[in-house]
Amino acid sequence: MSPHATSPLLGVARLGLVEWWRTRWPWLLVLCVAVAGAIGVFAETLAVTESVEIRLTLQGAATRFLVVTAFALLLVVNTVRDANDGVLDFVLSRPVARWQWWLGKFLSCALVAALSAAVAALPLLAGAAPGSVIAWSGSLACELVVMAAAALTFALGLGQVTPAFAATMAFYLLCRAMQSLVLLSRDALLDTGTLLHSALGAALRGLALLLPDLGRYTQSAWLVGIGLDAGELRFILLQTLMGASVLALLGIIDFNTRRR
Amino acid sequence: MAHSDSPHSPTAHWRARLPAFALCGLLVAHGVWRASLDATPVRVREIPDPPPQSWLSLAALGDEVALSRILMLWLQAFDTQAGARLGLRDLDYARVEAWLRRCLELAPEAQYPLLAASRFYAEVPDSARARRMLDFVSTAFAEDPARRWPWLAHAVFVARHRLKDPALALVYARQLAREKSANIPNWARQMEIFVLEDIGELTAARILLGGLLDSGQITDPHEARFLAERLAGLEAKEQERHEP
Repeated sequence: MSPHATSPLLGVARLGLVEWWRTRWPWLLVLCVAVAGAIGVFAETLAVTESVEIRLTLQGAATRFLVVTAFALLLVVNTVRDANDGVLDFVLSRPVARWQWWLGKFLSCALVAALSAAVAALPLLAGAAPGSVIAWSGSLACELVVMAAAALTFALGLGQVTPAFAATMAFYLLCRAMQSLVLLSRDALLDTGTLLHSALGAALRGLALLLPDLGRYTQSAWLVGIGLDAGELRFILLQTLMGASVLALLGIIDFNTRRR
Repeated sequence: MAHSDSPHSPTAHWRARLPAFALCGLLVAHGVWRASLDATPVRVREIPDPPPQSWLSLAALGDEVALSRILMLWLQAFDTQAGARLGLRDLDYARVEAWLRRCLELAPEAQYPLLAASRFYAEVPDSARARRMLDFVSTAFAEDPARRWPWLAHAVFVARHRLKDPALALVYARQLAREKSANIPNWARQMEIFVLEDIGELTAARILLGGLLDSGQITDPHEARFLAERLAGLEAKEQERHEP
């Protein structure tokens, strides 16, 4: 990539970082982490055994859900506002190609994702092994990167906050639950033997091959020393690379074909 | 302009604050109205049947360990409902066992379901319910003996001293002794011998203890001395019993 192509991209990325700071994301992140911590501590007081494990798993699960949801919401709101207020038109009136704007925006989101995951993981060091927390934080950063690509695509494609956020969260929940849905479709008890059931099952399995498997990301069990291995981390890195690339390409193609 | 129409007049001043007064008044009225209502009637809920395992996996959204822990906290608190506290005897233990089984399937490494079964739900003053929980612990032990042996050891204690059922205690103690898993400590494996001694089966206890000492499995000298003293004690008791 030539220096001429990268400087607008980096300029947009820099603008994006400033925007994240101005929309109070750090405070929202701290609030999410604090609420998740409160949930964990409350659960710990209820437990009669494995209290630290219960705090860590529930705090980890709550942190993951709250941070991903807030991150996606803020990204959707910011992007739709930029499009509606003319900020996007102003930027594109400059010698900035659409793909440069898209990638610059995505780059800023990826940087914020990495920093946010690191901050979100800090409270978990009270009780969990540092290696587990680092792996969990890295996985959360990857999850946020995938969600950033999805949220950008939906926000620019749908143009309004409510449908874009609904589509982003539906995508997220589907990606997390997809493997369980596939297993459910294979459940012998539910198999009616009809063509419709077979077609639905095949469609689900096909969809599972296309969607990123977010169900394997950021497992709370890792924080208590269960199920963490190099193979899982390798899968997450590769899945993030491929999933984010597909979503980015989809987003750029859709953005390029829109008339503005 | 009349004085009362002026934006700085007292009338205008109070008019501007009218919405705030109305809000305070409504809040007070709402609180008084709620306080005057009768208390919500107590309605005790029965414990529901657990959903199929596949549905729970779906609801977990990939994080099954977290869901297992949430379900355990919910199950543990089920006997305390709004306005009522249920005794353990009022719970449907078949459903309790089913929920414990689900929690274990979601998180096989968790100890919470087995602690709840052996130390909480088995402490009920109802022999049938307690036995159901101990059987659950025994079945779960067979699936993962290396991790779950402490709960079966506790089941031996509950069967012998709470249920006063030495035959049941012996069944569980033998299950511990026969398990080949290396994680089970010697004292847990030796429970069979002491249960036999406790119920008067001195000959069987002596034979097992002698066999254990001769097998070379006991490597700690203090433990070997303790067990040798127990063996001598068993032999002495047996001799007393056979003396006319």
